[in-house]
Amino acid sequence: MSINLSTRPRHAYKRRLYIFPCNKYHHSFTSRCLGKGMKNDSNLAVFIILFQWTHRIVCSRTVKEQSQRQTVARNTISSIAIVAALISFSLYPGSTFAKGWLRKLADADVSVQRIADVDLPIRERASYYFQQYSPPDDSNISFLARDANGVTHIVDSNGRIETFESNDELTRRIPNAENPINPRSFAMVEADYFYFIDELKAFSNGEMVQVILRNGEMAIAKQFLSNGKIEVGLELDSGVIYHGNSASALTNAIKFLNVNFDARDVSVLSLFSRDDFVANQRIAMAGKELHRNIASSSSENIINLVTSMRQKIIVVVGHVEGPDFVVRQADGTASLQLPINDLERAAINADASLILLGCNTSKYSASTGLLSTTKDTDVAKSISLALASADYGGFFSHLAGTEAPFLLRGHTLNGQGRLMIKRQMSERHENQVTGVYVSTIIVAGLSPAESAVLRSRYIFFIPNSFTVTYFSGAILALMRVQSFWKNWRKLWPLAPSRANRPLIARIVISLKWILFLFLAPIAGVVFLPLVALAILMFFIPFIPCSSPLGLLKFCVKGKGGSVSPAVELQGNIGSEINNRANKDAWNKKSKDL
Amino acid sequence: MVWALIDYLDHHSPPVMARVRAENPELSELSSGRQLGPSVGKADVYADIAKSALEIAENKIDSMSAYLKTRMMRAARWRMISSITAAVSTAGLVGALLVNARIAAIVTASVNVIASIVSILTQQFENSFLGQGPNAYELFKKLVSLAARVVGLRNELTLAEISNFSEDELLELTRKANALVAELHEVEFTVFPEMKFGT
Repeated sequence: MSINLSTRPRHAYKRRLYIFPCNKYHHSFTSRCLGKGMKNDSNLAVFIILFQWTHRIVCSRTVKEQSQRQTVARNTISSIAIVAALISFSLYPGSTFAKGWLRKLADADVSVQRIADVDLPIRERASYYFQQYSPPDDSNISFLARDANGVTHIVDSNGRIETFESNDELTRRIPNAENPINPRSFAMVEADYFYFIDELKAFSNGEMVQVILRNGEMAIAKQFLSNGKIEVGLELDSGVIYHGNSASALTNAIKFLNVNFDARDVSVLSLFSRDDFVANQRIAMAGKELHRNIASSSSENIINLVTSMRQKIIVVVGHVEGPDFVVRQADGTASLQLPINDLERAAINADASLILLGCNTSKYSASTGLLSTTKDTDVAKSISLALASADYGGFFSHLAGTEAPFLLRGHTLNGQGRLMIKRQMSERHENQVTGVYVSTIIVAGLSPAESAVLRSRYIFFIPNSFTVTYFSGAILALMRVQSFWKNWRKLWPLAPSRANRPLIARIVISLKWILFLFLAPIAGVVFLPLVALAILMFFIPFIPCSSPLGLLKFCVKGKGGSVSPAVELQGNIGSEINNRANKDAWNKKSKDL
Repeated sequence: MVWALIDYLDHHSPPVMARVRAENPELSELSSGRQLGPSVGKADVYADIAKSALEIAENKIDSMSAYLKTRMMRAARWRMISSITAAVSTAGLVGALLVNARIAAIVTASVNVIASIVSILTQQFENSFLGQGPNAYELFKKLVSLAARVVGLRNELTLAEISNFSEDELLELTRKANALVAELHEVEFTVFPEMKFGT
């Protein structure tokens, strides 16, 4: 039914769904939007069409035409239809930009992560990262990515794309320590790709390769020597070099490093001879009650001790000679020789993590260790600071200290990370929730990611999406509480007359109120999509591209500013962004759009 | 290899260690603390450090011996006083009981109690310094033995310098000096528990 909004009398809009903005301005505004070339942004077009459709359904009905019950039924049906439409748009996108936009709506605040997920062309991705990380002006920066066919592409700061099908070509092109294209050259690559482009590892010398992590941080790829082989790791925290084999392991490691640190999980074992009481005292003062000197024990006893420390983080401090910890008396004689391999085997049996603090322990260790020489004074300071850390990232970072970087291997963290998260959840459970429910989850075993989700909930056993929806529904229900209650009290069981049976009448009405309080928010939820659409419609044109919600507009960011994809179609975005002379014109164009 | 010598010099004569460090900036093991890995040292530098440390050690042993001797003599004096007092008061107590002098018995018994307390304190004074470990006499005996070893080792080092000992021989002597000084340093910390450990 077509309605001329401008000619309708004002009172006709009076008794409609209050929460939906029924006035002619919205209708004409959306029409203008559609008419002004917004069709390039398919998501926005979807919003506009849905808004107009809803507007017609809701705003065209008046009280005069229908009974109140019919209005409620119609509103409910139209809301369900809108939700179904939104879901269907999400599942069957009309364009690549519309793909999964419901998901984007939920996670819009994690911009780098979303960009990694969105199927943007390589040049636009490069442009986004160049702008996001603002490299120094005099640096020569490249962005690397590999497409589905296994072909590697490099985008430079001028927006030029080069394609490399052979490793030799790539070798010549990637900046590296031996052949830097300019002293400030470096290449950026997303973490997902880093583990697929083996050639990159060969050039991870100095700060030539920087890896964009999913949490938006940037990690520098660094080479290190292990068992005589050159390997490459990522510096995740100051001095903490992570070595893993996959992007998913890396993601888990980053999550683990953010887990709250608990010093009770740690045991500090020192291997200094009894006559070296100064060193013993230093480590004892740093480790406090967690410290134990095991230098006078036999190798077998030490191995048994480590095996008995189930699920602990065991820090071993001592003098390292080759692949062994060696305890030397003051006169130079060795009183104990303990192979690092034996210690590691014992730790694996105990499901514990071993942290080896001695000179160059990473060379001989398959788990963790320092990448250079160190002194007991530095180690004592490191331990003291590390034990006071707030999270595991801080713990490992302090162990690394200023002089000696610390190597952390992915497989070492997997079990330990899961364990720490579980323990944290268990403690949270003890403090906040009672019952068997959570214990069952813990026993069943969760991944760190699942555990993190559980920990982030407002109410532990209820998903946040439900909690937020329920309370938003409660607010909306308050707006229509009178009409809701009117309908509700008419439902079975009907309360008898107060005059005849006052007690039963009161009981029935009280019970109905209680149920109403629980269920009304769910009725309110029905109107949420309508409100959300209305709010989005109001604000989308005013959302700046730089804000996290700017993703809804699919702005492409560049050095010169933010633009919508429509501009990208007009020319070479990279070169235009980089052209400082055109910067003002560029900004103006963005504003116009 | 020379960590005890370095600790000792850092503690008692920082300028000497500062000079050695300034003269040998390439030797990282000369800095404070133990390197937790193998190190390549210079025998002549180590021998120099050992000689300086032993020289200081000799003086420290003298002063520590004097302190311990004074302490032992004071303890012996108090022990004798408390023993005499205890004997006299015990005799007085017996006498007072025999003549049925109640007040005199209480006074002599009180004196006896004080004498016993003095005796206990004296024993504590004589014995352990840290609540456990060797007593003053044992420490004194150890110091005497260390003094002899220090003098002998100093002579050996001087001889080594004159006779152009090989590097290995010098390193061996340095190791001995390191062990000796580690032992002495531990005694020092026992005698003077208020002494601060290195950083």
